[in-house]
Amino acid sequence: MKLTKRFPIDWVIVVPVLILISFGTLAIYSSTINSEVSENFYRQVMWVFISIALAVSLYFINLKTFQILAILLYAISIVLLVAVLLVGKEVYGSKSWLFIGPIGIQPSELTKYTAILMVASYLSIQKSGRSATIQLFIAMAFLLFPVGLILMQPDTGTALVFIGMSVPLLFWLGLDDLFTFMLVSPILSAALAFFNFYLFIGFVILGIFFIFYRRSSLLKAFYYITTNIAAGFGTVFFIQQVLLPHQRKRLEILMDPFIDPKGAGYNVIQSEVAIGSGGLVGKGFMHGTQTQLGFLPKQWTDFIFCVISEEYGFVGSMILILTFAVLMWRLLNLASRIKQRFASIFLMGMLLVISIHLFINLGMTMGLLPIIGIPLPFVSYGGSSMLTFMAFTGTALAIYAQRKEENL
Amino acid sequence: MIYNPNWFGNLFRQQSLTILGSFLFLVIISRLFYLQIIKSESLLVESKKNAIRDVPIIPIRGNMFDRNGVLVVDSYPYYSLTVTPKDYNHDADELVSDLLNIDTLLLKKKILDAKRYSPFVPSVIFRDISFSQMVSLEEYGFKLSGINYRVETKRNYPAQMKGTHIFGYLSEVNPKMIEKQPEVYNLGDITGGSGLEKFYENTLRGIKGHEFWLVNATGQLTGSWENEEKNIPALNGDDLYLTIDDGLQGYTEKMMVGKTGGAVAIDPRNGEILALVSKPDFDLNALSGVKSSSIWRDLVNDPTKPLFNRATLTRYPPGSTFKPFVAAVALQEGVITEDTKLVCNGIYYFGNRGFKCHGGRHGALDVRTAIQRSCNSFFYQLMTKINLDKLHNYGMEFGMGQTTGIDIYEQRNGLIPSTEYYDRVYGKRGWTKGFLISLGIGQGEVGVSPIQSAAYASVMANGGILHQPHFVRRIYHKQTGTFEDMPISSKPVSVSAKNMAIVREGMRRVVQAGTAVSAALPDVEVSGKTGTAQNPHGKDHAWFICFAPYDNPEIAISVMIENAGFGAVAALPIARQMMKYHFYGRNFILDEEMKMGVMVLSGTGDVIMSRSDSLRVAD
Repeated sequence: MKLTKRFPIDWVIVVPVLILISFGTLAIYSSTINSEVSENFYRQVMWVFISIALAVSLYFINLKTFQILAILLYAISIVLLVAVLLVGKEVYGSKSWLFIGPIGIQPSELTKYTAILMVASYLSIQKSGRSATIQLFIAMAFLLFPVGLILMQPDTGTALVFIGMSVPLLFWLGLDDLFTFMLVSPILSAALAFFNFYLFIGFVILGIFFIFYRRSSLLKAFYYITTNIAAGFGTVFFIQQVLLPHQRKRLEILMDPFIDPKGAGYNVIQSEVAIGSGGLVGKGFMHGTQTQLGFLPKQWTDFIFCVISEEYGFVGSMILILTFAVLMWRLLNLASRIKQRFASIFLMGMLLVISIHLFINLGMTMGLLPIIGIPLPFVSYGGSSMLTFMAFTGTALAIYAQRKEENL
Repeated sequence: MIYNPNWFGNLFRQQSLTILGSFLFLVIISRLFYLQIIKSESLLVESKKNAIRDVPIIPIRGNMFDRNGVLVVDSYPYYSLTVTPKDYNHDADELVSDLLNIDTLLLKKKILDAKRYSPFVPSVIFRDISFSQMVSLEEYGFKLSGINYRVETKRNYPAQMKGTHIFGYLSEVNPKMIEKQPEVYNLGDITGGSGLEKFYENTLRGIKGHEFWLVNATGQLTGSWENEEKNIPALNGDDLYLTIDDGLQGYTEKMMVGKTGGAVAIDPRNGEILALVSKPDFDLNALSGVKSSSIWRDLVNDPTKPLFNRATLTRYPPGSTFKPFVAAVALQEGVITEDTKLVCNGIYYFGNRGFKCHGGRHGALDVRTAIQRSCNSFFYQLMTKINLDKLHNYGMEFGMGQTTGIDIYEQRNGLIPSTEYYDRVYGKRGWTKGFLISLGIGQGEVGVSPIQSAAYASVMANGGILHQPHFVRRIYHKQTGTFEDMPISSKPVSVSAKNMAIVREGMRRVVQAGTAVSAALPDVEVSGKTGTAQNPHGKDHAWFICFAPYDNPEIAISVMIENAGFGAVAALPIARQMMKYHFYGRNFILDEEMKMGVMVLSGTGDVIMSRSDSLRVAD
């Protein structure tokens, strides 16, 4: 009892994380053990143990030390990001791997952790002489600086995670909601106009109501309307007039994969078939035909959700999704309750990283979003990803354990 | 103010993010529900299409046995090449055509056909590949995804008879059949193309089985699906037990070598066909496996028309073999009595037209003698008094003028004319009774096939019952282990037994002391009638019908030889040899052949019967 008092453990984080890791390990076993990459399962188990060890080590680190460590880790990850551009190994068209002997790591994955740690750390240390707005800018610079390096690899998926995360993080930090909305809405307008023109019009009209509800100035309203209409119509014009037919076709495949079922649409179709054919209870462990017979390339990485939903069905998939929901709810809950700025910002960052990975990954496998190669946290095969998310977990647990002891 | 650090993580922000997150979860879960619950069934079908190959197991076609239980048709296995177009890579074209020694273009065409039929199902593209070709394909298997082989069966004819027009050939199904019965036929399947094979297709074919195999994304078979529990075994085809006598059939075929025509033997007690020969014929083995288009083309273009079943499809005037029938009709219709005598002056005048008899004047003769001596004048006179439509109706009853209902498809109605026929052909009032005179002697507008003629002969034999001629006695159902007897229809003719007896008596006299004395056999009393069909295009066609023994007939025969002259010379000897075989057996015939030394081996190795030539001299 004494031990738990001195080292309190947040089981609401630990249990979901362990459940997710178990899901992932089983799915990797099922999808690789009978294939030419059967060693992937053992590698993943090794990475799970290494990552747990890392999480446990981080758990014992003092929060103040984290704030110092943040600068060091951030610097190292920037160095690695540069190094990967110079000496990295190209895999599937992007130079994102750094090999140290037989072990390969992806610095861009690790940077997700170090950048958030850096932002949290920077914004939580009292600084005099600088306005809050300037500080916010600097923090965002820390977060977005790696994006440039990552885009040079190029690794669009990971870059998207950083960019996507920055907006809600700004909002959390205190950015005006109306301003946040005006910042994001043109992007949303462009995306909606691409998928469905009426959806875009509806969105713009709803936005106008929101702006007038917030009693904003006419100038702002005018700005909102112009930017959104421009973004929406611009997208349509761009697709219809500027793009060459074969480029347009690529975009059309995004919306209807059956235009090219054997080419660009193949992954989406096979992924939907895998998920759908699982039905309510699934085909059973090691019995998913899509999985076992290799209809989805590299399903143990980004398409791991297909394996789970084909073999465990709707029930299994819902358990997985609800496990994520519990973990995310817990992180939001802790970020809201804990008054230490470092803790709150870090937990919010962690929540946002996990959320973006989850929604993009599931949206992609279920055919809602174009294929963007990012892993499912704790579940997908990959040492760097596992290491990163377990670093988050270990830090979150340390924050939980020290939440009453410090007040920065 | 757009940024206020005091707003950091406030309740509004907590709530906003909660709502946003919940909304996204809702979207994801709805989509999951849509895919896994609502669309689950159709996507499951898709995934099965992906992963499961339904490989058909071809059942073994049913066998055929002759009336004595001799196996006459069976099957033996051979290898066929199949392609699953979805998995096939055209890079392998060169290799495959090399291994099989075939043209690359042909291969491409075959694969395209298979693809049009279905990209997912293995279709047979080449049949009867050799064992060594199969082995070399196996060796290169890793390069040949989508290429596989299947064991199929080929027809084999182990007995003496060829049975060309009885058994019929097998052929590949045509697209129409596949469209009609897609659950039964796949592209490249084999089906009966003619004869019994076609008529009893449903019986002989059996029911296909299914083997379900798992294939991976590159189309290689990776194992069986659900431990073969879902596999459905093939049900082999049922066997036919025929009425044919293999020995008699084979012997008749040999007898008919070099001739053009047909010979049919029927058991008059029940309509069972003992032998049915049409010449020229061909070797069914040539079409049993790979039906090479060149062999087929040769058969189709052969001027002697070996594919044409002369025993069932020809329609020649029956000549004098028609006379017993005319006599029976005349007796029954009261045109004459058994004692009525009509005078033959060597020529019969109807109006100002003269109809010749043969062999001088027969003088006054009764019906029995008229049949015996085949007097034309007698029958001309009958014909003037017989109502044409009555004749037509009797003709139908005797098995002429309409199909006999035999269990192969190639048949022809034949022609026993009626008033309606003449009206149609010449117009009302466009013809006179004079047109009909020659019908009395089986010439002119009357036509029968050997099978119809044999059916008629068997009515004469059994004294007045038309049994539907047929080839199949019973079917052996393999699944139940039971025999099913084939029903036959029998109908009595409306000629009295007394009148039939008079005509039969006339036919007996034909052999005893008439135009067919050479048909007589020791110990067995034969009755018959010769006939010669006038042929405006060339030499006359020879007919002979007969039955024996007279008192209790067990065989009725009709032989027709095209362009051979007189029935007594060309057709009769064959019928006599058939009867000899039937009554005295195979050994007697062999002995006879040894004694006469008539079997001559020609230089080309063909067996040629010169018997009929030698007999012709004797007759």
